[in-house]
Amino acid sequence: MSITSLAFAGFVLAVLMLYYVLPGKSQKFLLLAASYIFYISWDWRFAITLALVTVFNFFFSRSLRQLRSQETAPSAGGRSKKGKRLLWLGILINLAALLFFKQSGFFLHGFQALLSRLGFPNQIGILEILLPVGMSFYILQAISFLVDTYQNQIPATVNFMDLALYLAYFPKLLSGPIERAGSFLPKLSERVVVDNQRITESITRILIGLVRKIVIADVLAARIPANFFSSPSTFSSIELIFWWIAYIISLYNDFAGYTSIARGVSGLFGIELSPNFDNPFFSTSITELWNHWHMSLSQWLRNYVYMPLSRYMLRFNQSGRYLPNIIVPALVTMVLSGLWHGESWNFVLWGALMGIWIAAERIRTVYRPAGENLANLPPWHPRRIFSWAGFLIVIFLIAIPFKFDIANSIVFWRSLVTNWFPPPSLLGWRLPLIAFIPAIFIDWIQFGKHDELIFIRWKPIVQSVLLALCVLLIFLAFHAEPPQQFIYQGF
Amino acid sequence: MEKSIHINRPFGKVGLWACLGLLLFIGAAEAVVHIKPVQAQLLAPGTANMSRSFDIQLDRLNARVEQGERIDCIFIGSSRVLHGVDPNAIRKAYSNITGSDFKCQNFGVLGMGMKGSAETAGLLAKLYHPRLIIIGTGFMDIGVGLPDNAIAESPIVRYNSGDFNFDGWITSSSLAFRDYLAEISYLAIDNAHTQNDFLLYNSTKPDGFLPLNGHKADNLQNWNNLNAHNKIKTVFTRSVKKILALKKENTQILFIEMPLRTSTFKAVPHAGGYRRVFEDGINSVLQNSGSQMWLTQDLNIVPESGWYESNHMNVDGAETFSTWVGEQLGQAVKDGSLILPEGSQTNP
Amino acid sequence: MELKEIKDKLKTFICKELLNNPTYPLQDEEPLITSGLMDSFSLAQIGVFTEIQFNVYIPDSDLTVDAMNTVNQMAARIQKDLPA
Repeated sequence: MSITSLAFAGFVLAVLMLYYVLPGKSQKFLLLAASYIFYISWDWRFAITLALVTVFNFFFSRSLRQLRSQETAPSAGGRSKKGKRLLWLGILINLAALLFFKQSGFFLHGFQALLSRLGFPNQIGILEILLPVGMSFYILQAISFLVDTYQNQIPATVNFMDLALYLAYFPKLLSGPIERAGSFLPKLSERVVVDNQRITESITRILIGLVRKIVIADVLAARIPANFFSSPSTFSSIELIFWWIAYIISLYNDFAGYTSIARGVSGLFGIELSPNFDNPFFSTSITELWNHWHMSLSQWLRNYVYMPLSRYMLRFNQSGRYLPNIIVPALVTMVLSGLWHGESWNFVLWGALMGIWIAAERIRTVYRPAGENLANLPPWHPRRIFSWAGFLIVIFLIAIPFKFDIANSIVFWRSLVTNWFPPPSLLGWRLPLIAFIPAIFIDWIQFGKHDELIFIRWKPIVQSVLLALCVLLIFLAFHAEPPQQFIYQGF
Repeated sequence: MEKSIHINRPFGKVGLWACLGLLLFIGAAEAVVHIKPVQAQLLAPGTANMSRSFDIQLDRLNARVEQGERIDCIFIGSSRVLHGVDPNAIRKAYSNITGSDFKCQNFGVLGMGMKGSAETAGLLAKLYHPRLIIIGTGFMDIGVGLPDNAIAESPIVRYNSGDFNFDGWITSSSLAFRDYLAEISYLAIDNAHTQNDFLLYNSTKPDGFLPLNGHKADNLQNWNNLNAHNKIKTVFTRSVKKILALKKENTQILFIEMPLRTSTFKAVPHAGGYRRVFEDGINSVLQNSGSQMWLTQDLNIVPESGWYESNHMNVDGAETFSTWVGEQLGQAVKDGSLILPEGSQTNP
Repeated sequence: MELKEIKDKLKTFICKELLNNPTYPLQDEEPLITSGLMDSFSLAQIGVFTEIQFNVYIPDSDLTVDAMNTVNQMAARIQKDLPA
């Protein structure tokens, strides 16, 4: 069931009612059962994969813990060769599982081509393997669990049920946030009283999420021309800019909306989930943008890729100005991020360009005048303007391969410069422009006070008006059915 | 207990006020769109069925009924009906023969086939209780028309055929919502071509007739992709049966063949064969039903000059054809071969 | 090792290596990252400096903006794990 469906709302209400009448000991069990029911509603085979990953990581972490306790804590955090090797093995097995499902389509088609070349009939149907939804997310969390176990960040009381719930917890199962094992697991056993304040906050999060998803993201996504991503050459420069911005705003509100709903639902169960977005479009650099966009993934990459790699390299050469120390960790991290998003070359290109840009920003920071702080400069200062220009470069150059394949990325870049004519048809812009209004409003207000839930601090009468408006907009946006071309064939 | 819930009263005041505000707003919006000059500024209300042509017809019919007119007959069909049936001409010819008034509404919808006609007939019979429903059809309507599925699945049709759904209820009950549907579809249009098509039906007359003037050159080559079949489809016969079932609602049913231009009909390969399949198919369903099918293709009612192109009449052809229909109706009623029920009040 | 000594060593390292300005008057409670003086990537350098200088390993997950924003926070974290 989709997280914006009425079925999901009914499911959450039913689970909530049971949750608060059951004794505390059974609550985790209920959540686990609910999470698996939720997952099975997508596909029962997904649940089996998840269960297998859970069992493997549980027993693996036990061996890891045993090995650790046998060794006396040596200096520098007590990292040992044997434990480290075991940890790496665990990480690799998890990654292999993910790769198997993610890449199987890719490999299987190659395999099929080979078979048919050898004269075998097409039997790929029985080999077709589906990537279970959410797997990209829970595998990262399983790795987090192993690393945090190895680093003694997990309370010794954590049992199988805790791990199973950490990986399967339904509000975050499909698309995160990617929680760090060390900080999420203790929350499961915390005593929490869900009071008026928490309920209000949670419902507000759900509402903001619904507005982002239904009123902004879905309306925009439905308006982006069907051939925009497949044949960008048929669009003029202005149209390319407009629809690309519409796509980015749609993508952002889709994901931020989903996260907001997930956090709101989880809040009703008294379990806080990490934020994923913090008004990223107000960032002054791309490095900053990544600290505000899909934050839980950025933090995972930072904790488990960038930092270890960076420290590993710094041990050989401690200088922060040594170029490989700057470039390699950023490049590797972003290419891995690209591969996580999708197993194709455009994502590798995207990651590489993004990594190079982040390294460039870092080089600029490292060599800037002593003590200079960009944030203190006036907005019209050349350095600030440069950082804004950089923003444009990233959005219209580096970010393109995120959605376009490599050939079409090149077409996009070329058309952007050369296709100034014909002037765009503005007819299709009306609805997207209307959808931009709430998009800008929400982020602007939240960013202005650095408070995601600023709306519940407003006067009750204003809150009521806003709430009524939200409900109305969600209802209306649900019914913003576009007319279909085929009906209007004229004569 | 690890997690517990504790709600202090008062709680939910903001929500209550919001509900109240929402109700007030909806009430106000409903009141505003009911003001005639305001409604006149808006596009004709929509029904979320993807066919603007359908929406305009429903709006025209509604407007007449709201003005207190009693509609005796609704003529349902595709664009061949939309452009080929002039209710005024029917009325004149009918009253010349019978001496009594006979008000007809054209409900021709672009592309609508028998399935869409059946759904439409059901909706209109329920809402407006006409004495007679005429289905204008032909051998090209055997397949499913372009808007047919959308019409059949549209909330308002489902709601009125007894399948309760919230969207259908609100579409049936709220003019403001129907206005919103029309405005939002218009806003969502992204090219001039679609926009023209969307606005095209605005010139439909209050009686649902959309006259075409003059002639348009047409290419007989197009007829190679003729939308006809050499076998009757179950969806077609099922739809005809569904229409016949409406007789229970005190409504007479009549089928009239919408002809093609004679020269076209003769030139199209296999047209005669397709037509025989259609004729046999519909007659087998109509047998013993008490309803009739009037065939017109061989009668050459409309001269070559009465055609806009090969299968749509122009305004002159429509007058000729409709006069013929009015005369035949008048005759049939007069000699008792077509019995029209007295009919209940047209107002829903 | 005295807390003051840890702080002095940290300050010298931060001003010279990270702020590019050995004479910068860095205060104990001055926010380093949230103020934009240095970026969060520099925490990797702090981590390695701490390993080598004090023989204290701070896990990556603890090298966060929240936990390592001031000299005071860093020094306290180092002292916690300082070998006797």
